[in-house]
Amino acid sequence: MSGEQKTPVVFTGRTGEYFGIWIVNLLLSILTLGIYSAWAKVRRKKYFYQHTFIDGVAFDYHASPVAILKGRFLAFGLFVLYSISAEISPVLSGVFIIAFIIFLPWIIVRSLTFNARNSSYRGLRFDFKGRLWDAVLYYILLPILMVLTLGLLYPFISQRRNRFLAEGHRFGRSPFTAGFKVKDFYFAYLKALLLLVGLLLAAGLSIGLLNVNKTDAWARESMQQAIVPLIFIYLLILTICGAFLRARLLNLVWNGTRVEHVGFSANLRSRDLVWLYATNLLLIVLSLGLLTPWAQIRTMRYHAERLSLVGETDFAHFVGEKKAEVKAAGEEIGEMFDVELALG
Amino acid sequence: MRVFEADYFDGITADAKPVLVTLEAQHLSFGIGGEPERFLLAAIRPQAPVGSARRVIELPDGGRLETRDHAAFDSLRLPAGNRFWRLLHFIENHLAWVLLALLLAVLAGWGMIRYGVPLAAEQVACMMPAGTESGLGEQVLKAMDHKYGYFKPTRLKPERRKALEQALAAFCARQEGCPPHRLEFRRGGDIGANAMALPGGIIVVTDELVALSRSDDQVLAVLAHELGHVQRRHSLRHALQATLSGLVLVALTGDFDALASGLPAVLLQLNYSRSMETEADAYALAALRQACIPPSAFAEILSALQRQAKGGRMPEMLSSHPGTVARIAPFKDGLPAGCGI
Repeated sequence: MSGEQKTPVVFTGRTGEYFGIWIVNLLLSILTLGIYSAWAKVRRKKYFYQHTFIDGVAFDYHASPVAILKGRFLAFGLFVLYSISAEISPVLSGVFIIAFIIFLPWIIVRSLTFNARNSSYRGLRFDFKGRLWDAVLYYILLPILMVLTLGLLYPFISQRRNRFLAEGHRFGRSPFTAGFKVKDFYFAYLKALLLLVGLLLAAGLSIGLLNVNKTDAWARESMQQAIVPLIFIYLLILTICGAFLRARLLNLVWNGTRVEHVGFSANLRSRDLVWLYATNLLLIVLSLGLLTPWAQIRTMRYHAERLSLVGETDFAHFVGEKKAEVKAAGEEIGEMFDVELALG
Repeated sequence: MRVFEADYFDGITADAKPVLVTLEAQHLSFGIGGEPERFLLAAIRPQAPVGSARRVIELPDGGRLETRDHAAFDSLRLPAGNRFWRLLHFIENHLAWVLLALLLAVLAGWGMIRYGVPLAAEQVACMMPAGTESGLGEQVLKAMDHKYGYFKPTRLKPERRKALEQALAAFCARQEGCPPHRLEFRRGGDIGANAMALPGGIIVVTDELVALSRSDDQVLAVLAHELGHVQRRHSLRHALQATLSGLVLVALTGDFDALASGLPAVLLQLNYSRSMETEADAYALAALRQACIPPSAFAEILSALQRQAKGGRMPEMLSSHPGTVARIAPFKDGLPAGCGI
């Protein structure tokens, strides 16, 4: 099927333009003691959505800032209670964490639904129909089982979670389908693990060789001084393996996902992601955060460049319907507690 | 009258229909397949412009128009709420205004963390019941004894401890406003000669500090400084400030990297500590003079601590204690006349 039509995803956002939006968002958020951050979020997401084009038409984001603000107040209140409880008694904060874990699947489903229903393309809304029970299974029950299998189950869980995310989504009335296989997830994780072990061994050996001629006492002292570079090397290795895994999994998931007659093709490269993440982190820290908009734009541009649609883009096939609005609480609680919802 | 090109989406199918839109005085109209569509301008909702994106007009029937013709879009009269967004859009796209926003954001953020957070922490500390605070202190002490292993049991002789406790009680009795407190002795190990005030009035002093001192007065001088921390509830306020600055950053920066914003917060934390040290010093000086203990005792033990640090002076910006030379200057004076020595 080499002759199949490919439609690129084009991101037209520019750092200079986005910087203005970002800094005005930040200023108004500070001046309003954080209240404006809900409006800021909508404006930021609108910028990214409205500058992402497929076939000459961009996405749109419709969330009501007031809905987000209410969710944010709720999440903030919970966060304050949690912080105070951690100071007062470990038992109380433990109770908080357990309650949070019990509610986690609900938060995940709500947040996915809120985000999907408030996203649109070509005048049609997206939707999320994943079942709560599946979220309980893939985010709570299976991870408990995973501990018993010493992590061997993890690639399977990862595949199930991604399938849950993909198959839960609708564009208009058309469901997405997931064709990625468990076997491929095991291969991806195995390769990432081998890479990790290989890099750690290589780093350990070269450090050992450098110190081989020195007396024990000297080596011990120099090891203490070298703790910072060691941590740096360790973080670098983790970043490399993380980027490798992320590139592999994103490619796997996108290439196996379809909606109606449209497929996807992603070809992210691990070394690009390593470079992207490492330079983003470094420059954001060195610029005290001022280069954050630049980092966000270039990350988005890279991901868009590497993704395209496969097949005939005949959008007349897609049909939609109107959706009731979803309360924002789920999404915002998740964001505040930093729940990992990304693919992989 | 004005005519512009747009894509029309009916909200039922994803098909884009290119149309020519005609703007009249009160209406907007376009034709799809010979069927004319006509809407009152008062009923349509032009979206706030964002960046250089296509402009969107939401129609009352659930459809939408998307156009690249920014000039035509800008000629539409906006609903009142949208004027604010158009103003923002103007600011976002003019360099001078963006730079002004940058300057103001830095100033406002700094002001909030520098002045707003300590004020809020003080208010919360005042509202917190004493029982909660002392419970917190006990926990911190327990964690330092067992979990982190900072402290080992003291090796000071019981009579020495008793003598110091009595000296502190006598010192406290000679002045008003001495806060409730409890003295704890520990061997410092890695942290060496040190003393610290925990929430709830627990003061920990290490064996190494007692060994370093040449007289009970020198130990008392350090304890006076710690009593200053206790009296102003510094330990609790410091913990609250750390939590609050974290919360402020999280709340503000929904679209901000926590890592990047963490760095300025740490520097500000050190700054909080420095002003607390200065307050505790002021308390110690007044208390020593009131109790007729030569304030120079504080200067002496501080200098001894400084010498013991082997000249490894930290840069002043990064150190939570103000520079020792500047710090001991006020303690060089003798006793007030009323002490009659």
